[in-house]
Amino acid sequence: MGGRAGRYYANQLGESPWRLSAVVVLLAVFAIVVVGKLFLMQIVQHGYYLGLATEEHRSVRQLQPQRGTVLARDGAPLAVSVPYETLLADATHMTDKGDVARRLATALGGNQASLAAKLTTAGDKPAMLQSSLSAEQADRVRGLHLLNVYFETEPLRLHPEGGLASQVLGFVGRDYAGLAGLEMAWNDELGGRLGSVEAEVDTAGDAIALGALDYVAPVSGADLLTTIDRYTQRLVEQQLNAAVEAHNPESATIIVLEPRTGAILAMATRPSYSLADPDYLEPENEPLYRIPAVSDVYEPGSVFKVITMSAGIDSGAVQPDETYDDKGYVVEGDVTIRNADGIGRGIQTMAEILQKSLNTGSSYVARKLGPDRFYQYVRAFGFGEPTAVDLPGEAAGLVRDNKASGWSGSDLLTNSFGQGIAVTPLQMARGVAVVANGGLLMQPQIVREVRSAGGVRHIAPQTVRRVISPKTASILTNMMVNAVDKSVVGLAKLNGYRVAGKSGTAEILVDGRYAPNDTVASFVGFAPADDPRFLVLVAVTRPKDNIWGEAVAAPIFATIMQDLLAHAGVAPALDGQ
Amino acid sequence: MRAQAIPVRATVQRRPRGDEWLLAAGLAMLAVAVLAVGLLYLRLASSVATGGYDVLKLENERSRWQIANQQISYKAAELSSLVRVEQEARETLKMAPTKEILYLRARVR
Repeated sequence: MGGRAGRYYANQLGESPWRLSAVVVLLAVFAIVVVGKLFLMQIVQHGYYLGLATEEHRSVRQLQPQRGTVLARDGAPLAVSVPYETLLADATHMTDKGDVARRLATALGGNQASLAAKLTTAGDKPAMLQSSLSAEQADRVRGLHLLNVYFETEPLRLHPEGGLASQVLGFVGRDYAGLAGLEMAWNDELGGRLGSVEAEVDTAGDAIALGALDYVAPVSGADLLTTIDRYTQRLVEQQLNAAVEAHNPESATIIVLEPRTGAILAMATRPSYSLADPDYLEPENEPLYRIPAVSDVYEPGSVFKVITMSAGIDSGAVQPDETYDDKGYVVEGDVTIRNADGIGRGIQTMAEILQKSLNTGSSYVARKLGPDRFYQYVRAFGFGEPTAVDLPGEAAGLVRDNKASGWSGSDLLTNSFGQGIAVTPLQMARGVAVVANGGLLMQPQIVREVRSAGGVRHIAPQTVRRVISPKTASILTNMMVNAVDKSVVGLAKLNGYRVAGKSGTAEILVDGRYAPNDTVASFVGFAPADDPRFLVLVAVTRPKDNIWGEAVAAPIFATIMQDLLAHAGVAPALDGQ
Repeated sequence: MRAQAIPVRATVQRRPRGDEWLLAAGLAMLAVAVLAVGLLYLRLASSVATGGYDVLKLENERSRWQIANQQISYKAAELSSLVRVEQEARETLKMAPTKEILYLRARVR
């Protein structure tokens, strides 16, 4: 085409033919480049550009599910997600920031200068003007019809009961995932499933009515109905605060169980963090995030004599009416075991071993049991393994039996009165609950129901195993009642009620030696003894004013038990008053 | 210079026949029909789009009511919390914690 046509037009226009040919060639090259680029874009990179175009016109948004509510035993919410709106502004396109700030301050009842400063200093980023707006505040702002002012909705995890049961409930992080307590252990159930909406959008980012829409609905998290009783939990926490005030201990833990079902009615420790305190997520609070009632171990001391005596009687190694000669000490190898006061009391019955908390007596029972049977019972009572309660960070405790290297005969005797053995407060409470529950070991329960859109899943109380016979349990109950009734101090007694209980004063190992003035003062008991409704464990670590479980923990036990029985409408036997 | 031939267009005026009138009218009607259908579609699309935005607006409103509803539910839970109940009992009703629980024997006939 170039040659003849070029020459023809060149001749017509009086131009030289090569210049025109050059233009034609240039145009041809340009055309080839354009066509090539089109080929590249349309054919070779089709997928890439299609993706870009789709991205431009389509919006994919994740839909956050509603996190489930944690409910108390009576259905009252303990942790609930509530959506609140956050007010934001695109200040780059605002002409009169002062006027906007003035109008917003009027609507929100806030500080005009502060709002104006936020608008001025935001630069090209969105200015966060106020978070957690109430619905009324948000409506008032909407009524102003301000340009470049918009809202974002975010859920807040709130606790209507304030700081109640903080350690048990736990909390969620910024990504709304559970980080501690029940929120962590039950995160999969509570969290639900993300949804998504993929839609064609207009320039404002709003979905086009006739555009294609792919919608996957989010699945709301399940609600958890816990076994936590608000009244009991509050009572326990009040008593813990009072104990801290009175005894200035290093820590204190209280657990209330329902022995028949294993339901945990209340569980708390001091020190703790409080969900009512806005600073609870500060790093210095991190050591408090665990639940000491299930994650910390201690040597239980004389409370463990209940376990030893149960094993002795149930196995037939000792008889309830059997006696032994208490010399005040027992020698095993090169180790001498003594009573707490070092006094020998002569002939003593099995009941008196619990009543007077005789170390020589529990050593006597352990010797008659022998190590194999003793540790068999200890493990049957659930010590040395996690209780499998649905809470995070549970410890197994430490039981060093006769199969372990370094074990000696003196370990058997010290273990029999709760030294050289480490248990969690929950394990100890559950172990004594075996006696209250006619010999059955129950699985501790913290969640009773999981309520989801798919239905309600009931979690029934679970019997783990029979540990001792009902007869042994009945004998031990009477021995424990005797221990409370005939106690010299008698601080766990309740007028009109038969209370079964046992105190413990365990020395704490400091630099490889037991320090006599560093103790865990504890008390475990249940009432009414004939039909136990509640079991209460109180453990106070390093009380400053008094080292004895009978003096420190027993009165706390009595106060809680008295209140619980009255609140539950369990009337006392009036003849007993 | 060479002489150039000047083309001459011959025009013949002819009166349209009846069937041509018919064709023209048919085409005009078709054009009107196409226009009408187009307008109808436009109106329909417009009303659907408007309806879509109305739905969006109503959904937003519903969402706002749901937010308000959940906030009110939370407020109700907060007001019935034990802390609040105790506070009301102490401050408004001037109640005090009991020191002693007394049980009386009732004679049942």
